[in-house]
Amino acid sequence: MAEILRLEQLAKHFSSLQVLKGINLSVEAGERRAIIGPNGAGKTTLFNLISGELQPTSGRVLVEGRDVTGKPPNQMWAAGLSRTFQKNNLFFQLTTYENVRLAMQAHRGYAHRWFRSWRSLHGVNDQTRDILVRLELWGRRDDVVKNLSYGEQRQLEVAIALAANPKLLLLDEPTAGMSPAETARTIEMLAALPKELTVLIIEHDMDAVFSLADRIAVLNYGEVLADGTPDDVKRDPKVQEVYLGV
Amino acid sequence: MAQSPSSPAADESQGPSGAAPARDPLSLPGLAHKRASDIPYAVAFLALLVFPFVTTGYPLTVLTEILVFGLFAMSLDVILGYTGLPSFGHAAFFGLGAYGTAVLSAKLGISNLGISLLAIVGLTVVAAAVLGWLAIRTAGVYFLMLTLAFSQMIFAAAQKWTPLTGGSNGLPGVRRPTLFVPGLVAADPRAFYLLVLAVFASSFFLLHRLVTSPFGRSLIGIRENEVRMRAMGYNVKAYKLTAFVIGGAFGGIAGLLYAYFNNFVSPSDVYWTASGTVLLMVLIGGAGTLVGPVLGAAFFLLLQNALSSLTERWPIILGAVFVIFIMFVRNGLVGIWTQVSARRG
Repeated sequence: MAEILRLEQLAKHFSSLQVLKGINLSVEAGERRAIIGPNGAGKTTLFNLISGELQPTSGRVLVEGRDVTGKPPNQMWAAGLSRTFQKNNLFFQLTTYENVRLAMQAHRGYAHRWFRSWRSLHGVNDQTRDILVRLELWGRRDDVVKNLSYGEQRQLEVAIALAANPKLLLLDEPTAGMSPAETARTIEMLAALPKELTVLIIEHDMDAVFSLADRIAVLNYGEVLADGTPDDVKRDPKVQEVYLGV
Repeated sequence: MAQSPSSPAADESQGPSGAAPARDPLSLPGLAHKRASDIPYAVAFLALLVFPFVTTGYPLTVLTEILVFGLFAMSLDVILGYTGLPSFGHAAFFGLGAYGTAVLSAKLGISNLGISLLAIVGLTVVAAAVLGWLAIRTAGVYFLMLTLAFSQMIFAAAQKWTPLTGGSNGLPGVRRPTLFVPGLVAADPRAFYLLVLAVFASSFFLLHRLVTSPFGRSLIGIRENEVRMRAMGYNVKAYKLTAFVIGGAFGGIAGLLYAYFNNFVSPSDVYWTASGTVLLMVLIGGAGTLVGPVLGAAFFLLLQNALSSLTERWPIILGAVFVIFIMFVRNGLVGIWTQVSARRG
């Protein structure tokens, strides 16, 4: 399979604090890769470097072999990389529908049209509906997002990310703060994502990690401690020591 | 995501597209109850059209002024209400439009509407592009201060550049415009009113298209969560600048009408209090609703007229009314209306 994402010696320092100390990682197209590690291991910083929210101190990010290091988020989004945020980052005063529709009209290149009504863009509206139906948010389409449950808001994060029809999807703790029932439903939903989509997922829920991931990378103090199949990682003595707590 | 890459043209086809999954009747959320019917607009336009044939004189003068300031307030609404940019210097564009028109008419003898429209739109687009380019790099109170400073620069120029602007005495002698055809002059109040109505109505039409378009929706998204918009691939700065320039140009057109309306311009038209007045009109009417600021302008001017004929201390009462409005009426006159109609079901 083709390599879709490659990180070479990726490092990030905040003044004297080395949050990431040279990460090397290779992700194949269609892979489900989980990134786990204790709090402060640098997982979210790693996502921020990949998606362009932060500039790396050194190292390179390659998507499908192209160097995209330090490109701003809007260019990464356009290049087929979209992400969700650990903390819900939504349009809380707008409807569920409008949240996804805004992402969809940008992805399909209609956002700057200024004379025709948004209602006349049937392609945008049809695909917005498809995504909302798939993520079980269609029933909430006319509700203002601040009135959704926390779990529904987490799902909406994923819906917005999917609206860009990405090749590579970064999910930052999609089940954080969810009830067990919501978590189970979200795992199911994520498992049903199209096979050709590559997913990087930061997650603390080990059930979610072991049921979704093809491979797992373990981060600890800004370094890759282990990288392999779920079974390899589970048996790794270093991982057991620092993380799984066996 | 298994989406077929369809061509842009396919998206715009009217009516249901054949291959798409069956579109259920509710497939466009909010369509039923949020699609504001155009009928009220048509009724309002007809009423405004008939008005000068029913009565002229003072009421018509007031209505003309309401339309001029309604346009001014709408233009600020694009910047403030839709895009969320706190401009406190919108009188700059109004003043550029008014002074530009006055200089053309009183100094150069050019009162052709077509020429002055082109000149004013050109002037305000350039001014708004320059100011906007600087101002959108800031946010919040810094944006506010930059726009205020710019409008005070225009005010200083109006005040000090006496040979061109007449200085603090203002510039009299602005003649009513000739229309696009030479010889046709909107001289009498009724003809001039109809001209103002035509400019107002076409501006309203264009701005209404703008704010219901994908572009206008993007502006609302920027107002609500700029960071998210950027992460979704939007070039936020370009959108902000475009909105600022559009607002500035329509503000200039309002100033143009005002100069013709008053036959006179003075530095007070560009003073920061003029920016404050239009800001109040937008907030009282309901920011981000387009029609609200027009109602706000009407409310402001009618109240001002009524109170000033009753007492010399009218600014105190006016001020108290505005304090009450800003504190207790959240979304302005339009907000009251939507709450009342929601309660009636």
